[in-house]
Parts: sequence; C-alpha cells; structure tokens
Amino acid sequence: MVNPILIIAITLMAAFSIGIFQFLGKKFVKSVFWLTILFDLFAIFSIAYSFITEKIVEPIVVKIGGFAPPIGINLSVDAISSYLGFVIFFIGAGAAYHWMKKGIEDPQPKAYILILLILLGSIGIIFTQDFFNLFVFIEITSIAAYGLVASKLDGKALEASFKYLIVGSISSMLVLLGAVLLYKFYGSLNMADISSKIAVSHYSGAILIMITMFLFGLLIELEMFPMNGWALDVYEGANPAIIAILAGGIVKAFLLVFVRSAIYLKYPYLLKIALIFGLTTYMVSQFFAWKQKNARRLFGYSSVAQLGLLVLAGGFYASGILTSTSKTYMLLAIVFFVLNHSFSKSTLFFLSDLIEETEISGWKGVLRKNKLFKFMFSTSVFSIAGAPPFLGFWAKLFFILAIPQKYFFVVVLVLIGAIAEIVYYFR
Amino acid sequence: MVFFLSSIVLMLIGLYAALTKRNLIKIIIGLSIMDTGINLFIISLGFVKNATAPIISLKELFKSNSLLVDVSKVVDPLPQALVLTAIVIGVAVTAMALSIVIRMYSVKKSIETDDYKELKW
Repeated sequence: MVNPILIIAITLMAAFSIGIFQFLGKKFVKSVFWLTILFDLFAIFSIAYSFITEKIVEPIVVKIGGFAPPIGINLSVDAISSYLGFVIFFIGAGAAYHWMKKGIEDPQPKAYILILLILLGSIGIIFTQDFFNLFVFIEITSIAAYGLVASKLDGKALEASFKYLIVGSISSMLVLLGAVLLYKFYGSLNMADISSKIAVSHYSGAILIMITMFLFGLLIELEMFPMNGWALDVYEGANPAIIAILAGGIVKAFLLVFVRSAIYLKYPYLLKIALIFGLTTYMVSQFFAWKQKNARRLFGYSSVAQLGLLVLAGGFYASGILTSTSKTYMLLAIVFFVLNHSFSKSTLFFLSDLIEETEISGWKGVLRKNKLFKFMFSTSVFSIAGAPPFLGFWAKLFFILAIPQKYFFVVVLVLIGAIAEIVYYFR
Repeated sequence: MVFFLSSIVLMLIGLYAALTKRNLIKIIIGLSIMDTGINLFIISLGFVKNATAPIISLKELFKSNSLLVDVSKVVDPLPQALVLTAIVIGVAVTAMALSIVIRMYSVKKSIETDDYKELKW
C-alpha cells in the first residue's frame, strides 16, 4: 500500500517540475505527466485494494508535519474516499488522453499542469480532515478548472469560464467564512475535533447560520437548482473532455465533502435541505431538458439531474433515519450512481466531441450511419436512465429499497423523472 | 466591533457589485472588495485589545524564567496565518479573472456583459 500523502506530494512536484523544466522539450513534459498519472492510479488502486482484501475498517490516517491531529493537519482515507479517488483519476486519465489527442492541436505544458492540478485538488478535497485545508484544495481545483474551461479560447468557453469564476469564488468565500467561524466558536479547524465538541442540543442561531452558510457554499459547487445556470453554460461552452473531468470526477468530490461535513457538524436539517434542493433539481432539470436543442446542454441538464438524485441519496444516508440494512442499500446505491454517472456521462460527452454535431437533430443521421457510436450511445443512455441489465437500474433499485415508507412520494417523483429522461433521450 | 461591522459592510458592498454591475472589470473589483472584507473579518476574529504580536523574544524568556506566555497579552496567530493564505489565493483568482477578461476582450472587443449573450447570462 502506498502512503496517501505521496499521491498529493508527487502530483504537485510533477506539476511544478513541468513548469520549471519545460525547456527540456515536449517529450519530457509528456512522459512526466503520464508517469505521474500512472503512479497516482497505481497508488490509489493499491489503497482501495487493501480495503477490499485486508478488510481494514479503520480509515488510514496520515499526520502531516509531525503534529498530532487537533493541532496539525491530517489526511484520512477510508474505503469510500479511496474508491472515489480511483474513479476520479480513472476519468481524469481518460479525459486527458482524449483531450490531448482530439481536443487541442498542440498541447502546451500549461495544459498538462492544469490537469495535474485539478486532479490533485480533488484528491485533496476528498482526503483532507481540516476545514481550512479544504478551502485551499477547493481553490486549487477551481482555479485549474477555470483555466481548463477557458482553454478553448472562443467566445462561449471564455464566457462560461468567467461565470464559473464569479460563482465559484463567491461559493468558496462562503466556505472560507464558515470554516473561520467554526474556528472562532470551537477553537479548532480539525473536522473530527470539531465533531466531538459540537452537539445538536446547544445549536444556537449563530452556529446554525454559519453551518448553513458553509454547506450552502458546497451546494453551489454541487450545481443545485437555483444556482446552476453557470454549470449549464460550462457544459455547453467548454471542451467535452474537460466537462467529463468536471462532471465525472470533481463534482463527486464536492458531494463527498458535503455529506461528510454535514455528518461531522451534526447538521439537523440535512434531510430537509437534501429533499428541497435534490428533488427540485432532479425534477426541474429533467423537464427543462425536454426543451433543449443543443445536445451538450441536454447532457448537462441530465447530469445536473443525476447530481440532484445523488444529493438526495446522500442526505438520506447521512440523516440517521435509516435502519442499518437500508443504510447499506443506500450506500450501495450511491456507489453505483457515482460509477454509473461518471462513466456513462463521460462516454456521452466524448461522443459529443467525436460526432461534431451540436444540434440534436443532426445526431440522428450520424448515429444511424455509425454502428459503434450507436452502440456506445444506447448503452450509456440505457445505463443512465436505469434500464434493467445496466448499472443504473441496480442503483435506482437499491435507492428505492432503502427509502423508508414515510418518504414514499420521493420514490414516485424519482420514477416519474426517470421516465421523462428515457423519453427525451430517445426523441 | 468596528472591524466586524466594517468587514461585513465591505462584504455586502462587494457582493452587490459582483452581482449587479454590467462591466466585467467592475465585477472583478466587487469580488476583490468582498475578498478584502473576508480577510478583515478573519483578522478581527483573532484581535485582542492592547496585545502584541505572538512572538516571544529571548529577553522576555530570560526575564520571566518560564516557557509559558500570558495568552491574554498576545493576539491569536492562527487567523493571521489563514489570512496570509487567503490573500494569496484571492490574488490568484483576481489574476485569473483579469486574464480571462483580456481574452474575452480580444475576441469581442467589449467588456460589457450585454455584449456576451451567446449563453444565457
């Protein structure tokens, strides 16, 4: 098993050395980049593998700088975060390959650095146990993401990137304010330490507002309904490979952090927030998607809908109203949803790059001609919509099994949304 | 107290500017003001009246003959360290935003949001 800190350290070192030694030529840059990606994939796989085979239950904790956790920063890796990290690196490697081959003619060293930084930041978001460190990693990820979105350098991409920058920096400022106020009230920035000091019974108004602010910042990054105009523009404007990284990988990291900080902070209204934002996002995006003519914007709406479903599932999982069996089901549902969404949506976005038709009407002709594209398109669409043999079906099945009777309307709404989704994909 | 109030006012001014202005540069200025407000807020969290910097000189150590320092006499150093990081990040974001605006200007020769309607604003 590889020490998790090495993933962050080596990736950061590679990003810096590409910047400094780029005069050594394209070959050097390329080999450093791919060696780093391979190392990261191997490292995160070995960590995840050790959770499967050696049956470790305790998370792996790494102390940084030789200080014990409440004072120093520590990283913690458990089965879920190592799994998610592997998904992110896998999608990232695939998207980077596609981007270098097809997306840009002559990849500059900057492009490699940005990809390394965005992956590094999202791994940091998943692993870190410190609220301020979380803010720093969020900013690393977002700044790299603004650069990558803008890298197409045409009007649409730049406009999307600028909007993303405004919304992203406001949301990360909310996260920073929340983290600093937590320090003020509890004298600590360590997640586990704050969790042991916090209690729902003496939640005062100020603390409630502060934690809501913190979670709200993360919800904006999660593209929830009233605040997701920027996300759809990014889906439409940016290069599809970049969107595959953003939608397939980075957003999942934000989801994990959202659910985990809500658990750590013992936030009492998590289920309500998840129900309100998750369900409205899911329903509204499924029905807005009907009207779309641009294929990428349609995929964007579908992607946002899946995120709404994920937030809903995460809210149920963390709310503590589930029995232990249905909690396991919900966890399985989330794992399947993440896998399903990451891979099928990335496939669709890569397809939208290969087909080079932006309007939906143009897609029909291309799909009819090209058998391979047709096969890829229909498998991913079936999987996203949840047709029986595919992964999406099992995810939805476990989700429905896990929901308690009281919340039956959720099941009905989710099924209606799924039917709407099938219909608009097969128009 | 003055610091708290003024930092909150700064944050609100910045947010207002970032959300309502129609000029891209003014939006970025709004973001910077908001950033400054937050930095001031963080600094004022660790502020203690009539206290000094949290640095222990050797002379004082020999005088008091112990390694313990009176905590009420020094300000909290952690928010200052946080602010240092936050300032650097804020500068990076501003630089990124300005470079995007330069690219936008070179494409369309305009920095008004009204001229960027390709995607819905």
